[in-house]
Amino acid sequence: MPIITGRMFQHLDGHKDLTNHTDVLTIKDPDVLYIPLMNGNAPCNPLVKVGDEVKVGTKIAERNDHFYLPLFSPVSGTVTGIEKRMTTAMKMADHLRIENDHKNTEEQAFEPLDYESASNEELLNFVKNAGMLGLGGAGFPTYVKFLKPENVDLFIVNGVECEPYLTADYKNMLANMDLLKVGSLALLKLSQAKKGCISVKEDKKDLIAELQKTFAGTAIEVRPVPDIYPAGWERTLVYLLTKKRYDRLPIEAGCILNNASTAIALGNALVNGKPITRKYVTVSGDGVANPQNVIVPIGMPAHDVVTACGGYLSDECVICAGGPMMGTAVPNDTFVIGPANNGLTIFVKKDEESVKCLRCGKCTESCPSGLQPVRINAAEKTKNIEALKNLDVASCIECGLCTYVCPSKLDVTEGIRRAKRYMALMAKKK
Amino acid sequence: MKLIYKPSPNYRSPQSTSGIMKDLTYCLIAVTIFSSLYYTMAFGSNLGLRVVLMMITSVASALATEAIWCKVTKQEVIKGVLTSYGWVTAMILTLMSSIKVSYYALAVSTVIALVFGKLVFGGFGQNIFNPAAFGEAILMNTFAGSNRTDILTSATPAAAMKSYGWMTTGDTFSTMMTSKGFGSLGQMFVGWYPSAIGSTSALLILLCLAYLVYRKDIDWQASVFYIGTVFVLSLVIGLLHGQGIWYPIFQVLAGGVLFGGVFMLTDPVTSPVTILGRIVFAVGAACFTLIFRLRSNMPDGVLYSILLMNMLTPAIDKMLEGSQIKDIAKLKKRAIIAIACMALVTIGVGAIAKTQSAASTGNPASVNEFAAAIPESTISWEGTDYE
Repeated sequence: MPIITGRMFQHLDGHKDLTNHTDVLTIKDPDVLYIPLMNGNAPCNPLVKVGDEVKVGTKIAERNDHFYLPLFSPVSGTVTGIEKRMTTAMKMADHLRIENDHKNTEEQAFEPLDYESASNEELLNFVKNAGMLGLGGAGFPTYVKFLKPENVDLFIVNGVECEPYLTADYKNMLANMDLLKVGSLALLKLSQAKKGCISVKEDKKDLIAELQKTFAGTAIEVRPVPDIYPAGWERTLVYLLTKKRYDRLPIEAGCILNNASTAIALGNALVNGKPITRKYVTVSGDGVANPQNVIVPIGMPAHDVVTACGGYLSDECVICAGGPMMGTAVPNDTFVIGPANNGLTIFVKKDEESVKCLRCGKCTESCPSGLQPVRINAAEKTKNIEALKNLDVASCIECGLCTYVCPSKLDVTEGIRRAKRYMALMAKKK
Repeated sequence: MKLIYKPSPNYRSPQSTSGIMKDLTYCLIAVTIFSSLYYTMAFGSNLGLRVVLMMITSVASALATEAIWCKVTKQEVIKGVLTSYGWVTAMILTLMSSIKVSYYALAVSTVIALVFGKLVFGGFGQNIFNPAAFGEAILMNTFAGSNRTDILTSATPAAAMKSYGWMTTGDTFSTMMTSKGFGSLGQMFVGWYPSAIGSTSALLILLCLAYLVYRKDIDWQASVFYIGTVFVLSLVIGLLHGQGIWYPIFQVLAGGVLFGGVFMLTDPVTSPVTILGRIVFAVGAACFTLIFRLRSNMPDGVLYSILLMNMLTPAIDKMLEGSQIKDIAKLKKRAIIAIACMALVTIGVGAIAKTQSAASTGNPASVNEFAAAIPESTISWEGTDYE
């Protein structure tokens, strides 16, 4: 009901042409890699000791709490330690230090699988043991979504990539159409949905044509979505495709979603028996010399990636781990490329003058969660718990749109984060 | 090499608050130019010039007030003045005023509007009342006597209609329009008639609305729902009294409905933050406008309807607090109940209004005579159409 609530999205200038047409660069692997022993907020236990030799594809760690997720080595070499380093979430975490011998000796991480003849159970176990995880940014183990696929009407491959500047998924899809097809059809099978669709932005005409060719005759249809932010967010995408809203999980609306890069990774695992060890990463923004897409091993420090792209263009830059909307600006570039990281956006530092809030309500009209950011900020300032409860602060996903649209250049999203922290604190006190 | 931390997102829309105010200023300048042209052609270059001088007086006092305020409160003067946007208040205040208002009264009202209407609340973004409306209320109630009596223009349509209690027969109406020289409703749409300085040209004001909406400076909802509600409710009230389509059209064109609806009701600072809230706000203002027109002593109800709804803004925001997805059914229900109550009361008030016409007074031999018999002095609120 855009007449009475606003549209709950915005078209933003994606600046995608900075990296759309340049070739993808494969960077020489670094001498030392640091594999983050984290998945989301959960630690992963190392399976190798200091001094152990590892090969490409050696299982080096696993998450083993209520979820299971194995990690594999991207290079061959020696494990030389476990170090605490800062992650993109700006927390300290253990990283497995691997010295690269540059020989790339391989070992078969697992056997390939023919998804068509395999049973659903075999396929689910394969997804679990191959360490498939959401590559769109969440890093959530993929198999969990398919544990109980009941009443799924639509399986969605999410290739929307709505973050500005990022083109990694786009490049990955164009380069790996066959793997995308295998991975998507395997996930469709797991979902037990009758039909599936793959969504990309409607302005990517070349990609849509390729996808239509690839998926012709399958149960997966290509459904372009408008060039808006955040069209790639689960709730917005489900709403755009089905006009349904849901409370907690997309399965309530009969949908399961997976990122297109995840589908490609699964295709690679099924066909070639290879785990996720390398990533397409977009390095873009006005602060880097050569904006382009790169293929890098997981565990490569951001500093090395930026250097390979020509380095910074100014002495004072902002580097976002991810796109500029949801990617955190990290105050150093020692963090490494993790499995869920698909971009580095670098800007020359700009000074912004903010003025007072004029209550224009643009944040309220844009919020994809239907919240009222201006009211939340006001309630946070006065620590008005009652109002914060009414205003449903917890539904904020920090997509950043409220700060983006703010004509007064205020940090609206940051105010909501403060409100969320305050609410969490109050809940703890009780 | 230094990497800087800034909370995400690190990406911003090119639109700025200063840009919004700039667009608004362009629109107000366009209205001023139109008005100056009208007064020049209709009453001579003296009055045309007077429009410009009044504008300069008010804007200059606004800038001076804010500069002094910044100095006194130890803020950076130039930045403070530039981000307080006091000139917009001054321009709106001038355009709402009558051409007869003295420079002195206008300047003092501007100062009061800014200091007591805005700055004491904490400046831009913090004020409860639309500062221009606040200043105009002061101007009309405190400085009515300082109006220049040597400036002779004719009566305004709103004031003329007020003399029939905003409810008259079609015949009396057409006579009034001709005898007072307002011409047709079409002429009123173009804006070639005397009223408050800036509120006459429906055409120009609607163009401004289109421009501001196109530039995403304001939402269309507040203006359209305000003007639309005035139209629909006066259509209903008119039908109850057997009036034709001229009645709702005149209600929309006369007085400050369009100017107030486009330039004042859309003031984001003093209106609710949600679109649904703005719709309730606009409908409420429309209802008050009609009630004031039909039942109060004031010729027009726009100004006070806006000030009253400004007061209700926090309550409306509170009423519509919640998630616009999860709670939308509840919020919609609240809004509909509020709107329905206000509309019913307004229609009720309209229903009991008495149709007054030249004939119904029983006395004057001819309608024309009656219209002419309204002495100019009784229309001392002439330029106070906004009341």
